[in-house]
Amino acid sequence: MKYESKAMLSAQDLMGVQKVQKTAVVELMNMEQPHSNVVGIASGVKWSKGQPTGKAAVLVLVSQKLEESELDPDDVVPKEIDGIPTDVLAIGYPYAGGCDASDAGIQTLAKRVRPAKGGYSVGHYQITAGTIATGVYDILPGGTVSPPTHGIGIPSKSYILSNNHVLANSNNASIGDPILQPGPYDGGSAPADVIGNLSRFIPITFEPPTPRSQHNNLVDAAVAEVPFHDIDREVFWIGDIKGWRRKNKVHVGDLIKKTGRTTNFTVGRITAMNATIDVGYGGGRVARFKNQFVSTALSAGGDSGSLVTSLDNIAVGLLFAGSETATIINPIESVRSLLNVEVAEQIL
Amino acid sequence: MTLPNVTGVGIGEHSGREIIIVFVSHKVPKEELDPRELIPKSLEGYEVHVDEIGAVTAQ
Repeated sequence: MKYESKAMLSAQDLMGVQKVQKTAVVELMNMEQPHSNVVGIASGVKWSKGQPTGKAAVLVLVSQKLEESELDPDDVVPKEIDGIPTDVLAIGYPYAGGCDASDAGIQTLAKRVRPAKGGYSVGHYQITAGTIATGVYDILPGGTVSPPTHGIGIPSKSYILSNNHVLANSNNASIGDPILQPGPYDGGSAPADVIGNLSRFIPITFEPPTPRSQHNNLVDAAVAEVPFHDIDREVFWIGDIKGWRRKNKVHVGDLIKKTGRTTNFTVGRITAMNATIDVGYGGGRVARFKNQFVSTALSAGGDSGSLVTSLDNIAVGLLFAGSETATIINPIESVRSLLNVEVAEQIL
Repeated sequence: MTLPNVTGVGIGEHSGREIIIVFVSHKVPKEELDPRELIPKSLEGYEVHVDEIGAVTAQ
């Protein structure tokens, strides 16, 4: 048999193995006594010494392979199930969207650019890559957050706005850490591509260690100080931001748009508001967020940090998470009041 | 949010009325759920819709 044919299964073999696959799901993935590291079961071909054997097998997908001696006997995957051989395949932790930045469409927004704009790739030196929302500055003298009003004066610093998990490595960063544009996944490296330094971030509470019922996360947000001439607060393909909108003025059904590093320019619709939602951060960490906007899917890994606006360029939120069918957005009002930064000069 | 598969709750809109949306990682046939695990059809007078959202992760 040729290599290719040994890597494929006949229809008959497939039917046989699929029956056994059901048994395998029951035995290996039941919730009461789950096998360690097992994340999925599939039908396929047994491989041996790096070569397909042509024999039908039940594939046991695991987050990582371990030596038998390191496993509890109950956690060892049986060599065969109902006469069909098993094969263990390490696939890591699967999740839709994912924290990992996927390849950017045409690489435009993954490039180094000065001044940088909203929509372009950025990242803390230890992460993959995320997106610049826009340029922001400290709320000016006389400005307030509750009720919100704008101040007047001379901004002393300018910042890039994005997510905590983009600029502050999900709390695992120190103030002053170098921020790269483009992000490391897109080839950014220090010192050549350092655009600024982490200035402040809103810490995220994670489970573990804190039970999610006690979480009070409102935003995944951070700012990095950058030289004024290195950030153009216009958003690529969207243009200038006219103002920002209060949380209670955003409604279910509103059309929104964003430009991000991975999926470029996209349009969606708000489907829920005031949402409480559990978000996976990889490695088994989960954070529960309150008061979020949910929209139709308009993003993928690497778009985190994108500014979300109305169709007439009024900022409404900061994109930070999603699934295959939805995108999750922090209200821009919460981002403004918690980070104490101004995104635009008018409340519209 | 203590029910199995429930990952979120929010306020939505359906034919002009406010509704409660319950986000779940995946929908499961009624027969496979314990009666205590069913999501109610309405809560305090608001209609409840179930939205299968999948796994939500930081992007």
